[in-house]
Amino acid sequence: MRSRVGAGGVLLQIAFRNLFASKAKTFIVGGIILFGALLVVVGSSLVDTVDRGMRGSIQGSLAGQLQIYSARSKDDLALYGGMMGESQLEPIEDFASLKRVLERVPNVKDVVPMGIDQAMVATGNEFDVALEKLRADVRRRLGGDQGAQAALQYDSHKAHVRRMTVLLDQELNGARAIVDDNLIRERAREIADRAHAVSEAFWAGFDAEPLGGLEFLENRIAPQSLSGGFTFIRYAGTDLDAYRRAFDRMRIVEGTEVPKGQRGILLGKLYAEDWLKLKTARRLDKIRDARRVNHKRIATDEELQRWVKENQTQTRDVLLQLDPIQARIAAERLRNALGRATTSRPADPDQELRDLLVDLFTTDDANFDARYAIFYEQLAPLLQLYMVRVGDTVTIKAPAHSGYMNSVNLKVYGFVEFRGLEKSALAGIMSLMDIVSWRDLYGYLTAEKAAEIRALKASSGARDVSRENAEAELFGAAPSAGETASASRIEVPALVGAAQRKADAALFSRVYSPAEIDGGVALNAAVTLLDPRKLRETAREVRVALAAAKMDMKVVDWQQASGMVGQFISLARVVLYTAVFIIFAVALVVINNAMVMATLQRVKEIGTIRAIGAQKRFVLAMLLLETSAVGLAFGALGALLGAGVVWLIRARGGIPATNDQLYFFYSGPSLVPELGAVSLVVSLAIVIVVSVLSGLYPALIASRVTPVEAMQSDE
Amino acid sequence: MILIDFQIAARNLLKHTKRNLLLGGAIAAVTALLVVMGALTQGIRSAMLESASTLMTGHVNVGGFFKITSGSSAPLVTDYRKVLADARRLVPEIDYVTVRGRGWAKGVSERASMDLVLAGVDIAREPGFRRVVRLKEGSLEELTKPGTILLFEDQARRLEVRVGDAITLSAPTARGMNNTADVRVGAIARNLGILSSFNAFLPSDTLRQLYQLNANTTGALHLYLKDVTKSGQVAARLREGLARAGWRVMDADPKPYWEKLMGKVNSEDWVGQKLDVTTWEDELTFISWILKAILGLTGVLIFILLVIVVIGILNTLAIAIRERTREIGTLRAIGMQRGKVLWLFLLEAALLGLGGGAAGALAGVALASGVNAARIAVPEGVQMFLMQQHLTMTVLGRAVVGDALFIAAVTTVAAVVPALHAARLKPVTAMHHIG
Repeated sequence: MRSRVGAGGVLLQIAFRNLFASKAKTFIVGGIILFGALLVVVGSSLVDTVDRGMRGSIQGSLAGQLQIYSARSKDDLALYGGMMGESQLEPIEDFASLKRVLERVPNVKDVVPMGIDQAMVATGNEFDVALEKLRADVRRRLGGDQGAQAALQYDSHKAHVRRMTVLLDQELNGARAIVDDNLIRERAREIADRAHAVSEAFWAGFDAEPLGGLEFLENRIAPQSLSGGFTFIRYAGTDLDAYRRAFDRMRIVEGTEVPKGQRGILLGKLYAEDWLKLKTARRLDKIRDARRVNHKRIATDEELQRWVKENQTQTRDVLLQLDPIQARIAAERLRNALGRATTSRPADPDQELRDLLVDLFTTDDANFDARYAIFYEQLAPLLQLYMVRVGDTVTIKAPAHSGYMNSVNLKVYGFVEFRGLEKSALAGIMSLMDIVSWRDLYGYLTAEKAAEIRALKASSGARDVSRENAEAELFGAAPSAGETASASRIEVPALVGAAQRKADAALFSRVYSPAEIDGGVALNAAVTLLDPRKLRETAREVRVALAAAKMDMKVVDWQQASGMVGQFISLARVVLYTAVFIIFAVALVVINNAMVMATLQRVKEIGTIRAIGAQKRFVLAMLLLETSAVGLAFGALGALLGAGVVWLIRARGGIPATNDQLYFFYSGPSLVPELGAVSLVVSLAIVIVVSVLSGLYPALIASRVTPVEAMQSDE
Repeated sequence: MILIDFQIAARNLLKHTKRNLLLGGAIAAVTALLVVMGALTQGIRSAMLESASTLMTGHVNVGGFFKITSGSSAPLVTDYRKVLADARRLVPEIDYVTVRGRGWAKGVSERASMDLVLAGVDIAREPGFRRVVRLKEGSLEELTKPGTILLFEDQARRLEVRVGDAITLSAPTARGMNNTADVRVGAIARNLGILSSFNAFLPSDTLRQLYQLNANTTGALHLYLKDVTKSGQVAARLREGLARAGWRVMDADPKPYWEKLMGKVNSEDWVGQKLDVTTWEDELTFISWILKAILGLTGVLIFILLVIVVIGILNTLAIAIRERTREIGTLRAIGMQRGKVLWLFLLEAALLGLGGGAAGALAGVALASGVNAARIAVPEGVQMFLMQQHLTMTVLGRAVVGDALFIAAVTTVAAVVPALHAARLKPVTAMHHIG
């Protein structure tokens, strides 16, 4: 036993002496190993962090831990959409009974019904805003306010509306260049309406009967205005109360929650920033972020230069929002802030303001921050920065189950974001809608509609209205028999103006009971767990419970449910490990080569050791020990350095996301890597395996050296 | 003379078969990797170019926007025949031109609905279309009749329609209302990469009817050049020339038209028509970042590997020189010049690099053709990144030779330092050197 220990001691001594004796080899081998270990540690902690970030954003904002949907669906569930658009799911006909089954499974915390889709949002336009202001003035005057201030405002707003009307008429007449003759004939009435609205007679009579005039403008002219247009919105129709309970990262940044059981929509904050914000303001934000986070400079970056230029040339949106009074204030503020000379009576106030705005937006790296502040402090209070404000009503349109466009009006209660995921395109773009409105939008039968249909059937005899085209039938939207032309417009005849507002108000104040909310159609259900670590077992239990209740459902975990997005992280891991594998494979060859060289140089020495009685095993052990020692020492050093690099990245605030794709992958504005114990252990394990493997062959060669051979060789 | 040098270098390499084989193997592996990654990016690039230039863009496009009011916009070119005449005059390199309507609509069948990017085509004047699109069902002649549409396999599957079935197109217009048109599926084509998942084709006139546009308008002119690589300079010339011919032309902005449509044109302060000249690369910027990412990744990986290989070469040569110090001393003593010694060692490294590089290039090419032959299906999640449905690699002979030469050059340059070291040895000390 003693001799064993003694031999071990000698072995160690020789091994370490050799390490220091052939420094060149040690450093080559060690350097490569060090580098490899560093790469593994940094790489895997980055990937782990992306993984954790995405897991958090996906689970915490939309997916929960499990997702359940009808097994009869054609597509797999993809919460974030697939290549071919949203996944097509068969509806879960009765969500309430599904919920009952699921809630009996022990680990289930919440079950949230969902229907995810994209739709178009028609936002109000400047015309409506201007009319609204004028209407307020008219009301005040009719209410008896005859003050000079009120009169001034009324005149100013009236002039604004009149100017917009004239502008609209001119613009629409220009459209003759592209449209076909049919359309011009169809629009004859609209053209006549516009002609009336711009006529001297109309405005001369406006003061006498302002309400009638307003109504005409609101019903006949405002709908012709194209400026509001539409944008696309991605949203989840859901039980908003259950949603808030289940996803605790949800936070209202502006406005309030939708009152319990009522209809309403919460817009995604990031969506609002990207799509609803005044483009000029948005570009300023983006320039600021690019300068701050990515350290870009206007002087050197083409994209920033383009944004600056766009801000200079696109002042229209700002100008149109300002009525004459506001415009005067804006001009004054800008003159002061920019330090421009005051012209006592500018020849053309419009042109002056336009010039001031161009001046304001002529930014370079030196003045950008100051100009940004001027915009937000001086100009922004006069502007409506978002196309949609809290409290506004938006119209959401989507093709219903039957293909015809359905629309619902919804009150915007607030903007929503998810804690820690404020800038994540994944979570931030999503808006949340109450599930009753969603069912309306998609033509899934709601209790109200069923009653309406019954009433309709009773009144019109036994006309069969299938669920598929209920909304089309109900609103008479289907094209009439004579009208088979290839281009017909199918629209629900929209109520306009006051009548619409009244109908909306009645609908918005209705409170739906939990039974009504649960007792209907949903497309998928998110399940959150009390203990997310038991995900697999719970999934199994859920499947058993569903099978027992004879429900034909698919149960998938959050990663599968997130479709392409979920696969991305697996892809990143595959790429990293493939890269590491290739690097170590090449390193193995090179290290092996170096070791063989080193061994061959020591043939004589090894022969001598063997001659004085060392066994083959001793030589083998000695050389393996040498390489493992190098591997361990440098591997540990590399891992340590890797940890240092990770620490350094953290200390510097992470790797900034320089474009939208990176925002998405980082789930935030920057990637702050965290060092995982796993990645340290894995890197050390890999390094030791590699060093032993690469040392094995040279050690075998060495152990085959016989004393005689060694002594005879002249090298 | 040079032959003898080669002989000596080759003999020295062969004398240490094992270690040189290993090092050569490592060099070969790196070369093979470089070749395969190059083939992959090239495969993606050509898949992009092929399917995209048939489906959504020409090599150079003259598109544009018409703004009825300054707050709205539509992707239209009015009076396109005049524009076309000017474009033909300005660009003699044109191979052929197609005229495409641009639109977007929800396609609704009896059972399902999906978003479709619509292209209005005049099928009789689409030579490229016939070459690239392979039909599964129906015939292209059907598209000459009004009220028909061509879908791709995946779309037809999703909508659950066959040739002859009707679908309704519902397109939002600037007023927030929806125009609809009923069309019949005239043909179903085989998938053409990822872009074919959302692009569908219908006769130009049917698209015009959907939007109620007159016959003077279209979406864009796609110009196809004899030489794709010239597209950048042609676009610049066209932009300038059209402006001189009196058209209002937008500043260059490397973005696809629909991004401009949704992002910026709406808030620009002008009305009427403006033209926008783009290249195929501009129209595909929304996917080309993937290509950049793969190229970046390849670059980093190859760099790391080359560092390792260079270390290996330094090590091997250092040992070789040590082994042959006496030999070098002898050679120098019998009159060999320093330059010659340097040359011999460099030649040795170059031979090793060339051999390894050639072997690696062959292996890479073999691997790439193996992958092509195996027709490996790309999972959907990765399809978006690779732009392909089957993994396809395009091996360019020029690129492969370039890769191999590059690796060989790096190997040779790495040998300069140890070779210089060998050349500096003094004959006397070298001959005294033992072992």
